[in-house]
Amino acid sequence: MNHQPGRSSLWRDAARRFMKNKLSAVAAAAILLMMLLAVFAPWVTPYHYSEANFDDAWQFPSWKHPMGTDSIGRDYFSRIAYGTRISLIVGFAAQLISLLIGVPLGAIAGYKGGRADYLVMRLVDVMSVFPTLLFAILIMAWLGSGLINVLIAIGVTGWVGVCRLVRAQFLSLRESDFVRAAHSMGADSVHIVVRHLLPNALSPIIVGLAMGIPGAIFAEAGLSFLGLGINPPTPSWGQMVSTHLPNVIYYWHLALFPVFMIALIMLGFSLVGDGLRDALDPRMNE
Amino acid sequence: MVPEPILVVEDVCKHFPLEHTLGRPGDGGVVRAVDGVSFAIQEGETFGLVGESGCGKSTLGLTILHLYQPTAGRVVFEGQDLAGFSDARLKPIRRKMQMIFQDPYASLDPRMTVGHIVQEPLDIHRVGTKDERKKRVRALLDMVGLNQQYIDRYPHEFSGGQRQRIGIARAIALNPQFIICDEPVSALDVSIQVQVLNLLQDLQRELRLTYLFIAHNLAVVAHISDRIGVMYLGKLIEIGPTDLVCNRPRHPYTQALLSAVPEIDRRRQKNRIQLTGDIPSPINPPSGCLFHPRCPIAKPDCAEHAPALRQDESGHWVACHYA
Repeated sequence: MNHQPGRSSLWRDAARRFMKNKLSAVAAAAILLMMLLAVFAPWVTPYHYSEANFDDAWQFPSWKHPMGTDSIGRDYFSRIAYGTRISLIVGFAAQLISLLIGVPLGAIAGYKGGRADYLVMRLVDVMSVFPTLLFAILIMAWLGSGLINVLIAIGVTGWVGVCRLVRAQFLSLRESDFVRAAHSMGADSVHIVVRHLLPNALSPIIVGLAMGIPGAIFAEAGLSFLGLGINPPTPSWGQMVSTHLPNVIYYWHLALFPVFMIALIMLGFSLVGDGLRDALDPRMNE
Repeated sequence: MVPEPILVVEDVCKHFPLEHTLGRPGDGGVVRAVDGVSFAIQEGETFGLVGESGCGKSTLGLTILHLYQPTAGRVVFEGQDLAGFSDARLKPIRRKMQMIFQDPYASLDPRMTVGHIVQEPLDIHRVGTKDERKKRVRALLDMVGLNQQYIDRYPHEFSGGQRQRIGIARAIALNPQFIICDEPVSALDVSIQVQVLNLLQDLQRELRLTYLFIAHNLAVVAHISDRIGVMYLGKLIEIGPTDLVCNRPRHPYTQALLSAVPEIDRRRQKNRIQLTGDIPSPINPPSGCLFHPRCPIAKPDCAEHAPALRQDESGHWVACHYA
């Protein structure tokens, strides 16, 4: 009767532990707020992000323009709000690409070992030799700027970490007694991977993901700052900083708000990642 | 007529090649973890295997289950030679051979509830319907003395003794004939050890189980075993009925081992035979008799000829030239 599938209570426990951590709960709320801002941007912003009004150019923050206006009189708050979309899309989608490449490769390397492991790890070594941002710049220079290409560039450079993580997890879990026990009962590889290895590797993967999102967001900001990311007039925070770089000495708001948002979203995801790491360990019992 | 033994181990070796760094095979050096072990276990018997840590007892257990492929030799289970069997062909045999592990913390998946852990072997072998499996899990928890209310709890919520009971419930779930107990009590408190040993004995009687009981504690092994095999450096050096091995040990190593068992009654305390030197490395085992560098009765030819296991009239085997 009370033999509920154990999984649900595992996740319930994790959620309860997560909410107990005040800092992560606040960070999660901040991220949720940003998500709402991104989704409902057309309704909450007073102007369209590309609506220029030359009479109102170079305005400082006021009631009419809460974050001021830029050089051609576009409402800066509207641009920031739409920029949230880009950052969040890049953060999640790039991590998804990394995941789709990194998890299978890491799983094969860690579980099969031997030759497969050797090949995958050499590929990882080759990838690690390039500085990530430089490699992303290389890909962007080749593919050209644009959102999809940004995702590809960040995803293709970002899977290395996920792959290493999954491999290390599988490698140590494969030798554990409970996997040996399953094997001795007659379990096949699919059973061992699905029932034991993945569930046990899941929380480090989730944590790695949450920690990887700010990295991807920052990479996009960096690429856009260098003019290799999101094409104007679509706003992206990195691109906004770079566009107004020559004028920030006089018009401080043009740099402050995008930079503040980048910092906020990165801090938010990092804190959520920290909270998740603690919450997802079933051995952590208050 | 002597009945057919349930398990025959014939000249089994397990050598691990020494690996070079970078994943390449090394220069041909091997660790001789198990080196030519032969014995047989009769149905319903408990065969105890003792030896110092590192002597290869656990490796032998894992090799019998073919979790390690034997380097040489044969394992015959119920008349079936398992040599060269794939995992798929071993599956029906693994249903009849189970294992209880030493570390009750490492051998239970921390992400699964007790119910799922005990049910896992039933899931693997697709025994019965879902409801029947659930019922069976409850019955199994009863059999090992665990409250059924614990079914949705996670392993970390239990004590070592309770965890070992969960491991035992899992091992008997498929009604196996033969169970390898790999140091099942050495990680537990002494007071709990007795409870778990008694549980194992009760289950053996009820379910007609055959045990291979591996331990480094002679007192524990003597308590539960019908026959005892003593291992040293990957080889069996003495096999015999429990009371013969314990009361009239013939091999000098067994004698030294027995003299180290502490006695509460001081008058019964024997003269301690102090062995000198360390266990030699299984990479570079000594010539001749493996025990000769530490043996109190060694003679020059012990370094040249390795003694074979010889049987005397009372069914007591010993591998020593002078015992």
